Amino acid sequence: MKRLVTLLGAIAAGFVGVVTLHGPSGQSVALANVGPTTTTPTTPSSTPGSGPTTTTTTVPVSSVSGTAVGAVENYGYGTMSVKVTVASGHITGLSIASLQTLESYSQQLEQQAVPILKSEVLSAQSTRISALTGATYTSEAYAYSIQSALDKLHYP
Amino acid sequence: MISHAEPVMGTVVSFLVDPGALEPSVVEGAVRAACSELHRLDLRFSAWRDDSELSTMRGANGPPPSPLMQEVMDLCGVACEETHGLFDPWALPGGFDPTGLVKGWAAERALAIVVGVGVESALVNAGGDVAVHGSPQGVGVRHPRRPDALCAVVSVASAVATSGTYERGDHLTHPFGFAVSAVSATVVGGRLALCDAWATALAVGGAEALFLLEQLPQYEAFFITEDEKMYTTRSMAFAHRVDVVA
Repeated sequence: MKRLVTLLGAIAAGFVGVVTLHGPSGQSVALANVGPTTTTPTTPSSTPGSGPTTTTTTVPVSSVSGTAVGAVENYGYGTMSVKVTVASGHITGLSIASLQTLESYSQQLEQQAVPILKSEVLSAQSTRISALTGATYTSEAYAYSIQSALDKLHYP
Repeated sequence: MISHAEPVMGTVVSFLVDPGALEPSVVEGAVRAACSELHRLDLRFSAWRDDSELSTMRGANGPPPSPLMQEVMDLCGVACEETHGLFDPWALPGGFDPTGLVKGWAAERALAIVVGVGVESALVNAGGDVAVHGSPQGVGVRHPRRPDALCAVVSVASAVATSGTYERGDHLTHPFGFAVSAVSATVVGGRLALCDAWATALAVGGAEALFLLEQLPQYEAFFITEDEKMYTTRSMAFAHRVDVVA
């Protein structure tokens, strides 16, 4: 659980630093860059099966750099894996390394979809995004895949 | 910026707080207190724990509701009335189930604890139910079909919630027995507890719920149907939008 907590802390902060969005209008949207992860200590969790949650404190991560692809996770409508790039302790890139959807789900919408995880638009201007809503369990698959990628990089 | 993610209530609740001039340790303490409150509420209101107050109350000869439970029941009553019964926790199979409102309500309480120490700007995201204090925040609405995409970005000053059949399987039930209308429904504005209930109402009720929302100035909303059309309230403003109609 510590890994997941750490990861989600990283998502909450780093995540938003990289996730970006290209619009049909040609405008780009960059998510808020909230800077280095400041993780507050967690309180004991009563989540069943998790056991006592360890305390996560701010960890020096400045030495971690590299790119890794996380495990392929099932997200309910198919499978996905996530590629994570870390430079000097900051998550600088998140992208979908593989994505398979079940046939019954729309190809049409897929083609229209906006890739939000492309790091190429990091320089873009600004509707800042501080949070995401919707599709909670797909984000779990996403989170677990990112975590396994971060594990490969020995990112705390 | 101080951020924290807490696994609780069957999801992850994340905090994003601008401490401003406050000592970070003060804000971190408030976030810890907010997390404790979430765990406490989870123990009481979980429909999946046999020992929760909710489960005990739903059993035969259950005890009368506590003041906190009564507060939730009252809010459910308001939501049921506002949505003309499209959100009706009493109409669900298995008995009274406030789950569609409790997560947002709990996130509101968590935000209030953090705001209570004097932060200027803070956000609590309880698995997609987002409560905002201070300056408006951009919130991405996940694409109903793609995990790597958004279908819209909205500016949120108080609350946003999304509901839909894609979230955790087909978990929505139309109280009047009709087919559920939307694969994704998002409501912006008002207080999060009711916003959360409205998202459920909009997902099951579709155009009917959108019509009701038009009459309520505090809300804007949109939903996406199975055939991938997006319907919005007239004044729904997007910070960024992807047309899902071909």
